[in-house]
Amino acid sequence: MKRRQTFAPMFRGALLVLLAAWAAAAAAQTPGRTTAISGTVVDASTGESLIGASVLCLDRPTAGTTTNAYGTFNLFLEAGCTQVAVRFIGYVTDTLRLPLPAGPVRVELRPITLDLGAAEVVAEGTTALERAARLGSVELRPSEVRAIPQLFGERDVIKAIQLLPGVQATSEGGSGFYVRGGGADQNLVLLDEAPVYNPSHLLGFFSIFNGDAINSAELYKSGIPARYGGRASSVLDVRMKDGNAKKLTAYGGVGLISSRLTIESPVAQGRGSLLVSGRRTYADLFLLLSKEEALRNTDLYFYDLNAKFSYRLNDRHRVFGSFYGGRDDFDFGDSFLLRWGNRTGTVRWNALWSDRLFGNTSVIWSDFAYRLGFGNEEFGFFRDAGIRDVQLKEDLTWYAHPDHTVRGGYQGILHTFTDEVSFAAGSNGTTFDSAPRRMALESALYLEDTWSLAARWKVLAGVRYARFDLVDGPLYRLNAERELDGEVADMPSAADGAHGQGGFEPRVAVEGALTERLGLKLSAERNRQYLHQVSNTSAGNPTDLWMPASNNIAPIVADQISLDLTSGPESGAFTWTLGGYYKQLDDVLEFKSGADVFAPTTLESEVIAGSGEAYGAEVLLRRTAGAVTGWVSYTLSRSFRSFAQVDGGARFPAPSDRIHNTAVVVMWEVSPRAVLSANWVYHTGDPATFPSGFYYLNGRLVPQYTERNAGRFPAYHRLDVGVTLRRGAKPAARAWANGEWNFSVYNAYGRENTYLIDFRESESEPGRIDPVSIALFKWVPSISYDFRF
Amino acid sequence: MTRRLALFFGWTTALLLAGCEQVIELDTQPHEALPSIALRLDAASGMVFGSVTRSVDFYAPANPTPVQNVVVTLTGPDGVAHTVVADLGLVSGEAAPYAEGDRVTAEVEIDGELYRASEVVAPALALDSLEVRPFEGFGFGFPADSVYQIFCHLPSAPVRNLLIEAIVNGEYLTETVQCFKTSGDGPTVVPVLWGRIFEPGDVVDVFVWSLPENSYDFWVTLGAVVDGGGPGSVPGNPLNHWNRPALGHFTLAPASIRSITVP
Repeated sequence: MKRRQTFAPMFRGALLVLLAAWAAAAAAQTPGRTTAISGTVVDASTGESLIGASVLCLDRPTAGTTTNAYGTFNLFLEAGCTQVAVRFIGYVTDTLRLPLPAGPVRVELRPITLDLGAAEVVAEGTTALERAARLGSVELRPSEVRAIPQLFGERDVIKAIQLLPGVQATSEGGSGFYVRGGGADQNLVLLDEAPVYNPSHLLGFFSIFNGDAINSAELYKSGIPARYGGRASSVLDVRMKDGNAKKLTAYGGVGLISSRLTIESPVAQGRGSLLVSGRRTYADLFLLLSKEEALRNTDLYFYDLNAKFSYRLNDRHRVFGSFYGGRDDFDFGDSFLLRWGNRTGTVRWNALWSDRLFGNTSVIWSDFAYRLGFGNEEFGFFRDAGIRDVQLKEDLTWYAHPDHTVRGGYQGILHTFTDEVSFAAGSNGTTFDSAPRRMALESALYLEDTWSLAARWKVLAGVRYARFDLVDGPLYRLNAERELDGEVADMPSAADGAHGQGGFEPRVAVEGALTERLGLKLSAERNRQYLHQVSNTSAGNPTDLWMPASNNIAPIVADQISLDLTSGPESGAFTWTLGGYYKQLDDVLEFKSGADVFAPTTLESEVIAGSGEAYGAEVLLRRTAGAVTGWVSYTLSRSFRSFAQVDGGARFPAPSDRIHNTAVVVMWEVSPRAVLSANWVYHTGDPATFPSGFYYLNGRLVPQYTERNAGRFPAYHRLDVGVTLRRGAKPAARAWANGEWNFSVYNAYGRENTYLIDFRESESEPGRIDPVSIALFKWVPSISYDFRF
Repeated sequence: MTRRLALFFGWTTALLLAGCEQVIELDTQPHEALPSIALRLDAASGMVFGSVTRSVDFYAPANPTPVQNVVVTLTGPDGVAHTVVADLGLVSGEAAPYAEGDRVTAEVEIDGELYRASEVVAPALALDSLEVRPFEGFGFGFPADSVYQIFCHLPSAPVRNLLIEAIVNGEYLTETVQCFKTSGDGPTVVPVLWGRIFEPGDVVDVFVWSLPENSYDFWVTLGAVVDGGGPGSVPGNPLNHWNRPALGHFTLAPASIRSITVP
């Protein structure tokens, strides 16, 4: 298979130039008299780590940093710096006067409350350099997510990011998403560093992320740092809250579809904290009221549970333990069942070894499995499949020099893949096909440097080397027609000679301030993806299959260049962002026509490999201060795929090819008691393959199709509105009564957006075929009450 | 209280799903009329049947039309050509029995243009027996009357690609395309037409065709297209092996046939 080399020479050249320049600059620069400070930034009321807080010298604002994913920072300060500001949106800025006491400093920021008066309720400004650093990524906070009206009233971080430029929902109400023309499986979704292979509940209408348990969510669309890898298009890094280390609190909500409860508590006199958060739907409880026994025996629910423990051993060392478990269960009498679940666990140790060296060591476990069945245990057809990971990860951050922050680390993941199809027929139960368990080791080393090239410019240069080795299970042989060549039992075992492949993934970005207001970021990167999720649908569903790279399956290689600009006043309400990108994809997989997906041992022969191309321009206008906040986003983009076996290799629109994509999000704080919110979304209809004719074949009338995805669904648009009502100035006697009511309507004007199209004989004109659009939802009202103890 | 809850839930659901279907206008690609050549040759008996029609526009009220003046020639490894003439688009005749491994070429002449495809006879899997079992019903109380299912008992054999069809009371059933790949792990029991319901007195002829791999791929794809799509299905014309643009397929396979009457 010929590998494109378009970007490789450019990457190699850029890397050599950067290494030479770095060496020369490092040799030429004299550190002078500098002071290194380090510490953590937390919420004063809860002790929660604040991720992404700015720490900068007020005398030299370009000399600054942000807290990392654990709320920790390190900063070099040159002589002459007398004050350091620590600031975070929604919190009162704290100013530290130098010199500081020796050792790490713990900064507690007070949340901005209404009591502080309107003069202090303003958006924290950011410099052009700070805004440039965030280009290519988006960070969402729970407060922003809560304000957006969503389907079934749930505050879902994935549904919120789908309203941002360059990000699209895969389907109506779905939790899958495309980023810049990539596939739904090309997004690395992490929960406290653990990969989540299917982040959806209720067939995608909810994500697994319980908003009450989430601290932050950051989506990288471009400029993905070298410390991340394994997916071709994006990284969604979700961090759980640590828990309230100051006092015991409980809060939750009751809604039409689900309810949730979260309890946070200090541990060991505030040295640690514990958080437990649970959620469950209860549609199935209404079925218990039915007179039909079969309905009473039907299961229709999901639940999830988040738990986290954190403990501060001393000023320099902290340990954390995170757990997530969730399950979906759909059992319809004796005819159909679909069950799936994710479980993740992370044990992590943060160490501030010195003012210049920070380390994080994590042991991570992740498990996704599903069961799909038709019939019952006596007579039925079942598929059981899953993927399990055990991972060790080490990250070190070395603040080597005022102008160089060096990060490096190692990641090793042991994957285990299982897949079995079975058939039960009374006493004649048979296992149709069971793929022998396969195991693979995915390992990576990375090194990256953030180089402050000048007062207003930074270069982020990194490289990742990733390798994927099959270490157990069969290696399948395919003949020239890509058919299984021989019996599975005779196949060579990977354990006798591990089969592997790997490659470098260079990442480079230049970010800076062109003027006091105008920031820019130019990035180029390569990402490799060794796990393919193969699906015939664009939406993604829990029964999609994860397939490892092997002797027959190459990894996806994605090359992307991106240019983003941002502008806005340092202290002001409006900012705008413009972006453009181009992406090439190699070795994307799809099932071939006529694929037999119910044969685990021959799956490698049932897929075809092709290429993809995507490009686009994005605009985001955002208002972050005042009574009315929100944003307008617009994306103009194209995305294509091509496979030699499809339409003679001609390229066709990919499922993510929605040429125009717009979202308008508005939140209006009418009064301290009431907030009105609305969002309107529009996108070009999805590409689809429609029949153009009919033909007979052995007594059957069969639709005749033309080129793949040559047609389009009607355009999609909808309006969601919501209102949040809070109690007045006089609090109720009971704490739970001081909550807030949320009312919302999803699809307020009842647009019947096409979910699928069925072709039926016309009722008014027999013999004529009519295309019938079937919509999933019309108006979806929701009511919920959020309470707090 | 219980009734109010049920009513509330019911109304919410009704509101949620109210008015969710409508006829719309679609811009479709121009239709290209192609011949559909559907030939079946039973390698065990040498019987040939099928149809040759021409496709029509999707929105046209007319059905696909039979193609006139069609001549079908089948040539085996011995070089002997067997000619079958189609009448009003229907092909029916006899060639010769063929053995495992034999390559047979079909040539179809339509209005002076020649369409050619060839296939190799796959190893045959003989149907052991058929079994009738009472159907226990789905979990929602349907059906209430005594009905039955028929099961094929297949012997132990290496992996085979099968197409299972049925004629019930003289009528060829077309609503389901049942393709089944045996596991090669021993005897197998498979419900006919994926558990279709039969009634007392039904006379059922079950055909089990042992297909070569590419034919099996064609029929699996056809089944997904006809049945509205399923896992692995992508809207598209099933790939065939005609040497010119055409629809349909030349299927060469040995058939194993058994009959049973539902008591």
